[in-house]
Amino acid sequence: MKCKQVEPEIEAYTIGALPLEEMQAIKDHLENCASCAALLREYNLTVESLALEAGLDFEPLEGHTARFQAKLSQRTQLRPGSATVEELTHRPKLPNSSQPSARQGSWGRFVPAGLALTLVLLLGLGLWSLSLQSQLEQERNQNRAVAAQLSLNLNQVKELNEQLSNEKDRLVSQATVLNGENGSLKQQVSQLRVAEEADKVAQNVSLLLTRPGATTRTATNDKFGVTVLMAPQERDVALFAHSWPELKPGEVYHVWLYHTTGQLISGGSLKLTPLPAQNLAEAIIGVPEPMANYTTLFVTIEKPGAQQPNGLEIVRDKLA
Amino acid sequence: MEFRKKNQIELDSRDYLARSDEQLAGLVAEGNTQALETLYDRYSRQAIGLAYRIVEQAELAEEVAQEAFLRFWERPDLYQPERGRFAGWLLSVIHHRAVNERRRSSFRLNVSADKPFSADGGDEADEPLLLSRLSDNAPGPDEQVLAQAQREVVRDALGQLSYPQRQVIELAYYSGLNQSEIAQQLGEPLGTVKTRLRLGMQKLRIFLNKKELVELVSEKD
Repeated sequence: MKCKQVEPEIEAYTIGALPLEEMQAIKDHLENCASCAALLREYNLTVESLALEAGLDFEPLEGHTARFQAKLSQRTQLRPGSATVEELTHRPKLPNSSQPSARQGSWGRFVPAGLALTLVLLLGLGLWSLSLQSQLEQERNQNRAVAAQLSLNLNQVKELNEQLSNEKDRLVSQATVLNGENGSLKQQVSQLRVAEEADKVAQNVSLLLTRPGATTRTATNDKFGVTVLMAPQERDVALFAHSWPELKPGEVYHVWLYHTTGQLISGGSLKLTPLPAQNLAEAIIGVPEPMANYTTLFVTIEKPGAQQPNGLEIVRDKLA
Repeated sequence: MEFRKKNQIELDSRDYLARSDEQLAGLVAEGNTQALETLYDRYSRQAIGLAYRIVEQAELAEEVAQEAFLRFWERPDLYQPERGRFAGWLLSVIHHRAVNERRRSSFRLNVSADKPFSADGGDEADEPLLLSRLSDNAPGPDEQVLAQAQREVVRDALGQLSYPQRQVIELAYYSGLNQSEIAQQLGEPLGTVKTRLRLGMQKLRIFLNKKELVELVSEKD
């Protein structure tokens, strides 16, 4: 595959929306093409965000952590190279002793030989016993040394724990101070964002006003109103909200449009930027087709991601 | 073995919580189970949530997500830190496994005869076809606060899309359909689907990357 073929498909590739063969061909190309790989990297945050969005309001089944730990414990025993604590501290047992068997026979004929053999056996047993005692003594000494080392390690661990605990207290205290500073910074950033949004909207409004056929229309009902600034061939439209109701947590303003074909289209959620005038705010939205292709615009209050208008309708304007 | 023993004994839970994903992944590679459990605590909600969105069965979603963690335990070398953040890689693996599972279920029901991205069982099956996420952002100790902020940004971003754009992206990413299948399901021309998907993704990319830039500038200020 060549770059010219890959570039138009990169968005579909990032979310796996291509047939297997095409996915593989693009993957092969990306491994050898730095510029296409860089293009792909621009979508990292987008794809990660889609993955995160899925788990936003999700609650796993109760006990999932315990089930995972049980599976992990089972797999740990099977993992090559992993060892249990018992295995790490295992000491081979001493070999089982087998008693030497004395040959049974006629006493009369074999007494001298039997005595000699018994003496040899006793001597052997004595020597073996001494060797065993020495081995056991060595073993005991080693165990004492290990115990002493463990005791030393235990003390070190206790000291480390104490140090860590002090360190934690210090960090908690620092975190409290930083949280305060963070709150102030967040407020500043929030104000900057509002200003930035307002600038953006103002620029778009100025631009819209210069477009051929640009018009403003105002629709009101008993309580609320909206002024729509649009141009027939433009896909952006500016909305000025008059005294709209305040949103509760978890609610958004959602724009809907009726296409000339009669189809209902979602214009997405609306983020209002407050204007200096009281009870007035503005927003710019993008629509899929030029505004001339729509007959009606209306705004409702919905939960994020609504696919049909179900909530309270605030305003409605017949665009034609 | 000695290193494993040392880590298991000397680190307590506070040490694990303070560590970045990539540091914990390194400990997992050395056989440290507590590091894996910490990563599980950190990402199980998102991981199972993503799998659930795709396979639509709670038990199966848990199974898919947990198997991805356990596969990482058995083959920690599948994650390559130089190729991107751990969270991005993990979620890609789970997405890939969940889509395969969904397609397998669809095949059983004779709804779709298309084959999955790759055969199950091999090591290659754990590696998504998509390249792993690459990011210059090193996750810090305030990762959870950032994640919360990111969630708000994600909702804002998706709110930017028109319904048809959002619809094709959701069918592709969460239902594992390719563009031709989406066109068939919606009864729309393939070209229309391609355009909606491309413009929608571009809109998301511009919005999210701009937000990230604003965040970075704000932090520097």
